[in-house]
Amino acid sequence: MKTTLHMATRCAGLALAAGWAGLIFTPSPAVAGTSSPTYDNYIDVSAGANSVDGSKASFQKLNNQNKDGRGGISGFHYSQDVSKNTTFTADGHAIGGDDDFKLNLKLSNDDVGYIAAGYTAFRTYYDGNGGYFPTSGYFAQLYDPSLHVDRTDLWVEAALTPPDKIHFDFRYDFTTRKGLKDSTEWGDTTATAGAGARAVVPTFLRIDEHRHIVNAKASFDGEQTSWEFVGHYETSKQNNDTEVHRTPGASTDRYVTQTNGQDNDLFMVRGFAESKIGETLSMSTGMAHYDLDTNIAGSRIYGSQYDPVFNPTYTNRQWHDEGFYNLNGGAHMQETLANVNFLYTPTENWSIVPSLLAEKTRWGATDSYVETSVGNGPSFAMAQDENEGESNEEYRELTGLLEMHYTGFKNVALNSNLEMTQGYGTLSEDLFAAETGLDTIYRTTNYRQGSQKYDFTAHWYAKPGLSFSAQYYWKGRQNSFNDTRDSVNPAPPSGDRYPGYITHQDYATNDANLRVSWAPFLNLHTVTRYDYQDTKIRTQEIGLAFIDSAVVRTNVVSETVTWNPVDRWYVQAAGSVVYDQTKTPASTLTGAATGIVLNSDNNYWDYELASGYALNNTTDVSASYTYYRANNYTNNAKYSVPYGADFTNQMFSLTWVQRVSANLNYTVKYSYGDYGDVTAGGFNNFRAHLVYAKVQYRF
Amino acid sequence: MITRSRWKLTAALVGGAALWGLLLISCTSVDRPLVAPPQIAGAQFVGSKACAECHGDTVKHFRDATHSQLMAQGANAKNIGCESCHGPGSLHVKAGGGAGNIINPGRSPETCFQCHSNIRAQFSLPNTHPVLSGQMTCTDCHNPHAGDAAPDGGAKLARLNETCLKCHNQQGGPFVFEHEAMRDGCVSCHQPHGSVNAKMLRVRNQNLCLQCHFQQQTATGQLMIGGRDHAPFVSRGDCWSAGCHEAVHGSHVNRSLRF
Repeated sequence: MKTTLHMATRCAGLALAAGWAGLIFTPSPAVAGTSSPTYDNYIDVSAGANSVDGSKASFQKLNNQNKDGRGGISGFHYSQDVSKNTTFTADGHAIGGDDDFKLNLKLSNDDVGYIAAGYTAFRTYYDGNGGYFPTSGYFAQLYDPSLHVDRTDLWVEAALTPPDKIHFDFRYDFTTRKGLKDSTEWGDTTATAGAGARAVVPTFLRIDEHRHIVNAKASFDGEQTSWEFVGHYETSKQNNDTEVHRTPGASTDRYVTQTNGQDNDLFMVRGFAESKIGETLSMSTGMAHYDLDTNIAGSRIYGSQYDPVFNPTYTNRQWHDEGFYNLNGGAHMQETLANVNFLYTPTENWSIVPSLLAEKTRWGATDSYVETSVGNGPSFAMAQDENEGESNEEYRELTGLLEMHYTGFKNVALNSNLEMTQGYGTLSEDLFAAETGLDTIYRTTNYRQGSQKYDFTAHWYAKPGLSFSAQYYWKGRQNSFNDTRDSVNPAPPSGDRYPGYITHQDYATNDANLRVSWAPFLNLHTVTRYDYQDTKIRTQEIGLAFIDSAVVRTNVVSETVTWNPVDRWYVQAAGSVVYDQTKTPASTLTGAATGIVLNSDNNYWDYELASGYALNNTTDVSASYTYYRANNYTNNAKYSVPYGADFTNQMFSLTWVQRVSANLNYTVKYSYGDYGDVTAGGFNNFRAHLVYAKVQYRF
Repeated sequence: MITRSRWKLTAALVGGAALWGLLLISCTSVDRPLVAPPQIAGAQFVGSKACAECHGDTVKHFRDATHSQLMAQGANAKNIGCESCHGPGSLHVKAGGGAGNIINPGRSPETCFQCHSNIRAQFSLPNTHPVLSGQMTCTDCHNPHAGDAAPDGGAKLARLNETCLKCHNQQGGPFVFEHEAMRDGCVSCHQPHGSVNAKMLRVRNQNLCLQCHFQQQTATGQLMIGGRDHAPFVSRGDCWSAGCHEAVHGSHVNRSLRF
């Protein structure tokens, strides 16, 4: 059977290749224009139904659509001149099943401005699955894993935009974000066939947020001078929970709920002005100030169900079960930025832009809470300690930037950007235990951060239809931390001393890409691109030697080919091959640390094939095939949780578009999707049939 | 659970698609072109000066945009400009404007993918922002018309991580106990265009943290992190697994970012 299928594939491929080889050298006839009447407005009504065999949650997440189907008005646009220079427009869609709605209304006058209002809602799907442990075949599903989060935005906007005068713009948004999604903070289980505890149990984030945002802007755009002044205020409320289930089904079965309440008030003002100083020189400068006030509240409580009341004698409590309650506090942050930029164009072919950006950040945060901790058995005594935390930070940073652009060589553009940043700050942290009257943390850390980036780019338009682009940059960053006061075990090396535990850390990145865009024939266009990046991180902890703590290396080759063998037929192919690895010395450890941490491969490849064909003057057919594959799985369940992604996803679609008249057409589409995920033990696999139909009426 | 024979299916699908393509080459004549998106059938290049007549504000500020650096002198580069992304504009000009005769990259990422083909692959992955499904566009994070196209890049008057915090503001803090990695940017840990890993993480296992927290090991059989042997802990899973260091963005109660 395998041989037969391979032969069939080869024969089909050879036949197709032969046909293409003949067609590629066929001169393309002149492009014919269409003379059908034009319609500015349209409405699309569509419906789709899906049949999913396997993991519906996985289908929803990967395709970002409802497992059963969806339907409604998938798009409409209406535009109407209501008087001279005044136009009314309405755009949107309303798709049930996915709760995907959009309505934008706008009344605009060329000489006055516009008023507009709108509402947008969309859903993002998640699967609530955790990990799979192959030794025992353990895979937990705690909720219906078909999860989603909805975002909405209700807004109004008004603007005065008289030509050559000051413009005013006002906008108000009310946004919400609500739903349940997965987290990677997986809980632990001992159902591992003797391998010990492994964290593969799904965890959830319950999201409930809303924001009021007000933006006001005044601006002027003149020949010699332009300026802009922006005021922004937002107030937001977040009531989010993290829901963790630990060792489900065992005698130590327990739930953890962490509530993270936060109210924010953010005020921002920003001014920016640009002026021509002479024929060859212009200058711009700006300043922004942010003021953020937050209030926090929350708890982390263990219990026999999600969102429990704190019970110090809760039956299933275990040693080291730690949490807190009665968290109250807040923070105040102020951040000020100022920049100045010059644009100097000494000749037509040169432009030079030197810039300076200065930044100052200052914040303070305080809170109080009761920390809970369970002692060792058999009594599992619960300790409750009142704590008060406080931290303050001040940070200053200066960035210098020089951009140069040269076009003096015919058909060539050369660019270079040089960027240097230097910053320093002081962080103080205190954690006060009220009952003992002692500071458990009492620390001041001075730190410095510096970075440089050197970027060179060249574009060469060698001949019509053939261009080469190359870019290279080197970026280095150096962080250093120095504790000038520390109450935690002052004899190094010791634990719990971050950030000052890291004394120095250097990052160095080399990044290059090459791109060739080539149209060897009028009907054939290719884009070939190669990207390379490597990053080395060198780290030194207090009292220890500098070491290479990580090497990250990425190679990407991508190709796009677009071909119109004849005017009525196009073929497009795109694909990428990615080799990506993050390597740390942890993979070379021996003894009890053998095999626990593997190098992280994030390799994958993908390709897409699409083709469209005009069967006749009223009918188009198109087909597409998408495929991607990652194969990075190593079963090291003996030592840890095996993570590397091993999945294959493919989807084939066939679409028929029929024009019934100049303003009426319908579309019918069938798709077949197939997904396999070895890392999840096959529990995320699915096969799906998708049918979809759309009618478009233009008017 | 579904058992699978993926390669057979792949072969069948590719073969079927190829045969289908051949069958469709019929003798019926048509008088209209069909082009792959994001092209505009029948349109010709008119040059950026024609665009400036109606879109003067956008063209004026484009001179300091990252993408303006693509422009060069010479006949071979004459089509580089507005129409590099928006497609040839002759039909748009002839119609006096309109939406159906010009490409709007703000509605579809296909235009951006023409040059940034490496990013197309990332958006195809299982963990990504909803760009291909149409809920977001490239221009939600990148401004192609003015300034640095990289979010919060260059000398912009922007808070650290401002682009990400527009939608993910709870992760922005400030926290009583911060995670210093946040100062290196959200992209230190996340790949915003898409990843093979959940939550668009650059790395799915302990190496995400060990990149910065691996230290010189002074004894065999240990994995010392922060001065403490973590070998017994990391065998359980990620560093941010439940009960370990969950508060990766910062904590209000614990310096070790436990929760």
